[in-house]
Amino acid sequence: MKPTPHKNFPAQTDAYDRPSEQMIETVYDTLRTIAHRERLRNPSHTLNTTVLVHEAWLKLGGPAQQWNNNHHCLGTYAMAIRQVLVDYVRSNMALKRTPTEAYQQFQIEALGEQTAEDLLTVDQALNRLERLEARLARIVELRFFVGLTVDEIAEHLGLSKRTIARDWNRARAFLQVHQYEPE
Amino acid sequence: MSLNETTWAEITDWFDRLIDLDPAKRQARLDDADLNPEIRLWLDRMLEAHDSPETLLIDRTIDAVAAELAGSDGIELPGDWVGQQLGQWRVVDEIQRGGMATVVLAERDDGQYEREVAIKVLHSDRLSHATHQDSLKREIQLLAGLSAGVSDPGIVHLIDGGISEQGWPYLVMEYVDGEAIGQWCDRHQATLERRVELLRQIARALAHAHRRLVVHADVKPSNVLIDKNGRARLVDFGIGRLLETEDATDTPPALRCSPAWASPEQLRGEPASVPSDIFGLGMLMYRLLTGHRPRQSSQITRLLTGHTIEQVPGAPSERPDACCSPKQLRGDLDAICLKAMAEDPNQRYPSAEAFDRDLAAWQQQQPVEARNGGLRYRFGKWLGRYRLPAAAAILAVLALMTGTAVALWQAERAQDEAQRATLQAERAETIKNFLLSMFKAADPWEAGGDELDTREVLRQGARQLEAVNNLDTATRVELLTTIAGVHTALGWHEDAQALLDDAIQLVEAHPKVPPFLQAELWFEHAVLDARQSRFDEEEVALNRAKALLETAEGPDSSLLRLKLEVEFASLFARQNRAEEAESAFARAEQLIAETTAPALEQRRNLNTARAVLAFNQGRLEQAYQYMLNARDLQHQMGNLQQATMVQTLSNLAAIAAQLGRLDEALAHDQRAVEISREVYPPGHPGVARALYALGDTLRQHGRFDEALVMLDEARELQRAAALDGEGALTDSIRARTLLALGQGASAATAAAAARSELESRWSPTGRSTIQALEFELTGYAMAGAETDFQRMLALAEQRLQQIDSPARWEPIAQLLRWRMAWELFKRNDHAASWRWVREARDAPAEVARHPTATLRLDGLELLLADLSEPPPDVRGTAELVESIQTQLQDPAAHADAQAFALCALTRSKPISSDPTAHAETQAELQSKAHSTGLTFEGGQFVECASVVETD
Repeated sequence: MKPTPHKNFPAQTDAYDRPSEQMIETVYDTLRTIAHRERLRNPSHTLNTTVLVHEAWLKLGGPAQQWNNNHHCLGTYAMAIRQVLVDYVRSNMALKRTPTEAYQQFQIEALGEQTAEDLLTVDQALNRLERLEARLARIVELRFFVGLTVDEIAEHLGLSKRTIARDWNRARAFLQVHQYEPE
Repeated sequence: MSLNETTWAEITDWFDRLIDLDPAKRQARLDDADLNPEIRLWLDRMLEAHDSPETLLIDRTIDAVAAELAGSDGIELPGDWVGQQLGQWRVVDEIQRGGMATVVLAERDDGQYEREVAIKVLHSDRLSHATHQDSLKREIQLLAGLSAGVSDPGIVHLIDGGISEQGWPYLVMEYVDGEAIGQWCDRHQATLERRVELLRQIARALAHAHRRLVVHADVKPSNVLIDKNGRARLVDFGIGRLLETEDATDTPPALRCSPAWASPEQLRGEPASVPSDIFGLGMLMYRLLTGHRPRQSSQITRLLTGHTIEQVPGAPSERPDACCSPKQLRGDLDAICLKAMAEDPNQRYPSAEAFDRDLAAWQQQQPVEARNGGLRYRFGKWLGRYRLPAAAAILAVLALMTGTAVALWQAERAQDEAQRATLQAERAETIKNFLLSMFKAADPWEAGGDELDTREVLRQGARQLEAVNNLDTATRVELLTTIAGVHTALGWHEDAQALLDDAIQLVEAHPKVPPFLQAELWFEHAVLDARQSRFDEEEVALNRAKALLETAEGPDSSLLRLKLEVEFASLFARQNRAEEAESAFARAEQLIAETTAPALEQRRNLNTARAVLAFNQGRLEQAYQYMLNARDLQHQMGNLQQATMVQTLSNLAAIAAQLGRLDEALAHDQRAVEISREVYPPGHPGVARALYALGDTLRQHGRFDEALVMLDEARELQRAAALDGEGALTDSIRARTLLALGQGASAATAAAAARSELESRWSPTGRSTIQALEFELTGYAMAGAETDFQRMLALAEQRLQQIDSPARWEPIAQLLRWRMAWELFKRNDHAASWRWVREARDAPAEVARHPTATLRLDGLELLLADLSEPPPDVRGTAELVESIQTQLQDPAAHADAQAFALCALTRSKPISSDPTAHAETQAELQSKAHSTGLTFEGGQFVECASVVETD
C-alpha cells in the first residue's frame, strides 16, 4: 500500500530532486526548536542527531509518515540536519569574527574550529555535486548527515548496494578533489 | 574548474570502469582513450583521491562531528556562569565560551586578593574523577608555585586552581587585558621588525621558564596575548602538560594538545618537552611571518582521526603575507623558522635562548646559526627557493640517469653494444658526481661566500668543468649542453650562449662525439635562439640537429626527433609560414602517435604552435581553443613547468583581448603574474613579460593607473636584465598609458626611448617604431613642447616616405597621418592638416583600409569641409556624413575612433542644422561615451570635447 504522506509533505515527482523548500523549512524549524529546548534543558548536552531526527519525526506526524519507506521524508531530514549544522557553524563563525573590544584573554581554540571549516567546504561541494548528479548529493546526505549504512541507503532508494557503494566512492572522490580545489 | 552534466556523465562512466583496475592498467586505458583534457584531469585527480589514505570529514560519524561543533566533552556546565562559586572565587562575568573551556572573570570572595582574575574552566570530566583530584591539586599548586617564581614579565602567572564542588576543573590566572598575537599583528599591520621583536619576547619568557624546569607544552598564537603596552605575554603555562598527567588511556593523544600547532612527538603521544616548546616557537613564527597557519585543514582533520601527517610546512617565504615580502623572509628568517620547526627534535635549537640569539643576529644583520645547516640543508633550501630552475636541473640529471638504464638494458641483448653501454653508464655516473660536486663547490662555508646562489653554483660548475682534465670529450659536451640548458631556463642567455659556444668548439675539434649528443647540443642552441627571437639562427640550428639525428638511434633520439618537429612547428608558426608549419604539425602528430610516452609537454607545445599559427592567420577563435588545450595539458603536467604556464596564460590573454573578451584576458593575465612571481627567481625577465601583458590589458580596460604600476615594474626588471628590446615595447605601451592619463611630457620621454631603441634594433620604419613615433609626437603636442613637436613632424614625414607601399598605408601609418593632421588642425593650420588627411585618403584603392583609421580621417575631413573656407578637393559634407555613418556600423572599429567621428558629425552642418538628426547623433555619441569609448579613453574624451567646444 502506498504510504499516506503527512500533510506537510506534498508528493514529489522526481526521486532525486531536492525536497521542496517548504518541506525542508518545516523540518528545519522543528529540529531547531528541539535542539534549542534540549540545550536550555541541559546546556552541556551535545547535539545528538539521531535523537533529533527521531524526535522531529514524531513531532511531525510520527508513524503516519512511514519514513522508513519514504525516502523523500528521510531525505528531507538529512537536508534539514545539514542545514542546521551549517547554520550553526556560520553563526558561530560570524560571532568569532566580529571584532570586539571585549576581553580576549584565552582566545579558545576550539577543536571544532577546523571541523567547522571543513563542514562548510563539504556543504559547498555538495551544492556543486547536486548540480551534476543530484543522487550523489542525496547519498552523501543520507550517509553522513543521518548516518545510514550503505545497505540502508540502498533499501531506501530502491537501488542495489553495489550501485550505492559505487556512487559513494565517486562522491567521496569528488568531495576530496574539491577540498583542495574549491571553485 | 566548472563541470557540466555531460562532462560529469562521461567522468562517471570512466571512473566506475577504472576504479577496480590497478593503477598501471588504469593509466594504459586512459592513455589509449584520448580523452578531452578536462575529463582526463578530473579522472586523474579523482582516482588519486580515491587511492589516497586521507580521511575526510564525511568519513567520521555525524554525532562526533556535531559534538565537536557544539564543543562539549560530556561534562555538565551551567547555562549562566555569573554568581557561580569556584573554590574561593566568585564569577562576576562570562568572557568566552569555547569548545574546550570557558573563561570567566572572577574575584576573590574573602577579599584576600584584590585584583580580578581570569579563570579557565575546562570542559572535561577527565580530571574530575575523585582518584585524580588530589594529584591534580598537587600539580596545580606546584605549577602555581613555579610560575610565580618565574619573574619574567612575559609570563602570565597561574595563581590557583582546583576542582569545584560541581566537579569542574579550573585554573585561576592573572587577568590580562589584551589580544591574541595573530589578530593583534593583523589588526595593527605590524611590521616584520615588530613581529620579530615580539617573537624574541616570547622566546625569552620561555627561556626563563625552561630554566626553572617548566615547559609550556602548548605554544600557539591564541596563548600569546599582547597587552595594552604592546608586550607579548604567554598564558596557559604548563596546562597542556597538566592534562597529560591524567588518564590517557581512552583518548587519542592528539586531543590533548592543539593538533594545529603541536610538535610531531606530542602528536605521537610523547610528553611535552623543551624541544616541543621550541617547535611551538617555530610554528608561531611561521604564523606571524606568513599570516597562515602552518598546517592545512585537511591535515588537521587527519590528525583528529588518528592519522599521521607529514609534519613540517615549507619555508615561510613560500607563502608570504602582506606584511613581509618573500625577499625579506628568504634566507635567514626562513632558516631560523625551519630550524625551529625541524621534525627531528635534535635538529632544532637546543634552547629558547639560542632561538632568541639567532633572531637578535638577524636584527643586527649578523650571520645566523641556522644557516650553518650543512650542505644538504642548503641544497634543499636551494630547491625550495628556485623551484623551477632547480627542478629543471634535477630533471636534466634524471634524464641522464634514465638514459643509462635504457643503455644497460640494451647491453644485455647484444655484446658489442655492451661496451658502449658501459661507457655511457660511466659517463652518466661521472655527470651525476660532477653535478653534485657543483653544489659542494658552491657551499658558502667552503667557498667563503654568503649563500647558495643558483648562478654561482652554475658558474662555479662551468669553471670547474674547465679545470677537470680527466673528462672525456663526450661527457664534457653533454655537461656543457645540460648546464647551458639550465642557464637558458633561468633566463641567463649570455652565459648559456658562452657554454654552447664552448661545446661547439669541442665538437668541431673532436668530430667523433656521438651524433646524438651533437644533435642535443644544436637543439639546445635552437631553444636559446628561440628565446631571443633569433629565428634565422634557430632554423639553422634545428636543421643541423635534424641532420645529425638521422644517424642516431634509440629511444632518446626518437624523443628528440619529436621535440625537433615541435620546435620546427612553433618556429614556422611564429613566422606565419603556414604551409611549412602544417607539415611540421603533421610530422609531429605522427611521432606523437608512435610514441608510448604521454608526451604531454610536446603535445602542449604543439597546441601552442597551432594556436600561434591560427592567431597569425587571423583565426582567433581557433587560436583561443588551441591555447586552452595547451593550458589543460599544462595542468596535467603538474607543477614542474609552471614557467611555461605563464607564457601560455599570457598568450591566452592576448587572444582573449583580440577577441574583445577583456575580462577573460584580465583573469588570464593576473593568474600569469601570480604564477610568474612564484616560480621565477627575483628579477627574472619572465616576470616582466607577465607584468607587461597585464599592464597592457589593464590599459585596454581603462585602468590606467594600475596599468602604469605594472608597466613600470616590468620596465625596471627589463632594465636590470638588459632586455632592451622588450624594454622598448614596454616603454611604448607606457607612453600610450601616460597619454591616456594626460601626462604628455612623460609620455614623450618614454616614447622617445622606445623609438630610439626600436630604430636601432629593428627598423626605423617598423610598425612598433612608427607607433612609438606617433606617441612621442602626441606627447610633445600635449605637453606644449613646440620645438620638439615640429621636429617630430619633420621626422614623421621622412619616415613615412621611407616606407614602401603597401606597408606605407597600413593602419599604423594612417593613424600617424591622422595624428599629425589633427594636431595641426587644433593649431588652426588647416592647410597643413589637410595635406595629411588628403595623403591618407588618396592611398591606392587596392590597399586594405581599417575602419578605425578611416573613421578618424573622415571625421577630420568633415571638420575641414565645414570650415568657412574649406580646402580644395575636400569631399562634400553629405558624402562624408554618409561614409561615416556606414563605417560606424563596422564592429571592427575601435570605440574611440567611433566617438571621434560622432563628435565631428554632431557639429557638421548637415547634422547640426537638422534638429532630429542632431539629437540622434548626440544620443549615439553619449551612449558610445557611456559604454566604452570616451569614459575610459580619457585622452580621447578631452579631444572630442574640444571638438564640440569649438562649435
